[in-house]
Amino acid sequence: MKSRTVKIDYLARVEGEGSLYIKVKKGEIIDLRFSIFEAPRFFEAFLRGRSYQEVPDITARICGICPVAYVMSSIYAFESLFEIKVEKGIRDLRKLLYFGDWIQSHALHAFMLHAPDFLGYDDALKMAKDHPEIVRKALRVKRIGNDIMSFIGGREIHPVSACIGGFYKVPTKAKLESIKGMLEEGLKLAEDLTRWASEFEYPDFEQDYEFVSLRHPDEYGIIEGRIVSNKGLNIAVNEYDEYFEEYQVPYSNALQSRIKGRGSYMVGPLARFNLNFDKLLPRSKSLAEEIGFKPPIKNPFKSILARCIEIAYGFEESLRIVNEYVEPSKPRVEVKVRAGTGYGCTEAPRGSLYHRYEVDERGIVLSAKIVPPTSQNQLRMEDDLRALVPKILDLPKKEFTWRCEQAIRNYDPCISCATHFLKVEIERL
Amino acid sequence: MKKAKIIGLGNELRGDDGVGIRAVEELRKIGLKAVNLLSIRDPLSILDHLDEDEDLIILDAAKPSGKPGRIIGLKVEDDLDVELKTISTHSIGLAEVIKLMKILNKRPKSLKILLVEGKDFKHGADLSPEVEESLKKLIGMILEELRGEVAEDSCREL
Repeated sequence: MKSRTVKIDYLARVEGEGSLYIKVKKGEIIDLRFSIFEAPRFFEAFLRGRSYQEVPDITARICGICPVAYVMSSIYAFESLFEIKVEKGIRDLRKLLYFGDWIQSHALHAFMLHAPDFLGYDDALKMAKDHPEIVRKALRVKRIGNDIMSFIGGREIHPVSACIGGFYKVPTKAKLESIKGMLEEGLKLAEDLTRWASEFEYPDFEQDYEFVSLRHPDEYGIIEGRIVSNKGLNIAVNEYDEYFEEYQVPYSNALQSRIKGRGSYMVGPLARFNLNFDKLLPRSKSLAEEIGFKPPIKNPFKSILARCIEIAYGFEESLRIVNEYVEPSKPRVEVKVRAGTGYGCTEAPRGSLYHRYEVDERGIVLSAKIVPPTSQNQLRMEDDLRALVPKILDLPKKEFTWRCEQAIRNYDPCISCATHFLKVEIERL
Repeated sequence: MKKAKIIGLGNELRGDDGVGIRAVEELRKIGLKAVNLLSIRDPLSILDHLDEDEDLIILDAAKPSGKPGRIIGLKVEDDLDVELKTISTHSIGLAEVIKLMKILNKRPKSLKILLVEGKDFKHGADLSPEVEESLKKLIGMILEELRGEVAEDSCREL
């Protein structure tokens, strides 16, 4: 039986700084640690004492890749506490802003960071030399995602237009219709790229996952709904803390999460796809069917296809929003502040993002809790490696290491968000 | 003044990493005409702003090597080969983007990169005094460059 220890000091093609350490003795894993060592940023601590109004703008700064998710989860947390209901136009504009974020984030990860894994390239640059047209298409899709964010959010990276109660400013119908052409272009490009990715050779690896995501009766879960799983979980957002727990492991700066009494679970595009397939719109659903991608998909390497389908869905739903848009009667509703605790959960590109805020009668934050998707997936990434490592021990060191890194990249971890960066350490004895 | 674009790259929330963004802010205050000024945090987005009729200057921070505030000028020749290595938590940095320009044949009329060596890249920090001091010099260099009063070979390590 093989014995080896593998150390990957800096995991490539992930957001932030992290490492992986695996020690195998006589075919058995005796140590496996996925560590996130990016310095903690203490957002939850410095939100205390701030006004509720500042929270969406401050939390948007947690991530340059998925700022919209932070804005949205915090907005919904406060709106649930202040019992604010927004009209359909506002809700649709929020989704449109969110799709911009999904599309640019998914396009970057799927085509520039993850696709090279399946084609045997070290990075996107080497892939671009052989597949320049694919890279051009992917960059165009990413650009359109960024343009949607700038259009609705006021600027590309950290949107400033959305607020508790609605938006500071909303577009006119005519103005919104001006983006229709680029959404149609994006949808066609997403379909081409999905078909391209569907022809990759995928490693034969499946796990019995507990998939967790939002589910909404009328739409693909993204901004509202109940938190559900394929193993019977079905709870309201404000019950999150009763069913999920965070705990510290000594080797990581990010807290790990588990379902109480059950263990690891997966959030993100694959979980959402498996739990919301029936809610896809006709074109993205038939695209999934055309490539034979139907739930349950238990192969984490195929998460790239879930991202592709979500890009197509994002464009399709955005087109619906533009076509049906009626300018809201007012951009935002009045906020009546009250003391209490607000809970929000929306689907960031990488998975469910939970926020909880306790405020006093003036709306000053007394406590804050933020659980990013990468924290939630940490334990699941380790469990995938525990299952994968024994199957690939006979691979030469370079391929073994690469496959381990790939298993982490399946999750598109955003280490900056979770802390929290990746470094892989695989030592062979 | 030439038709030019200036892109400030970096993250203003990470100390000296924000020097490119700050420089663009200062140039905006001066109110340059016919110069397209952009602040970009994601280096990949540079590819969306390339115009073959425009001279492009990219401003960014360089990693510390004991001379904080030092300004390094790189003129990138037509073959777009440049000795540059990305130090970034993001996987696709400026060095990779310049390689992509070449592979995808998306290029400006000319490309110059001005880097300011940083000292402190901590979250939430301001520019370090050394980099703050160099900012004025950097602005002066850009203005001279735009007036076309500076010979090409003056863009060198200072």
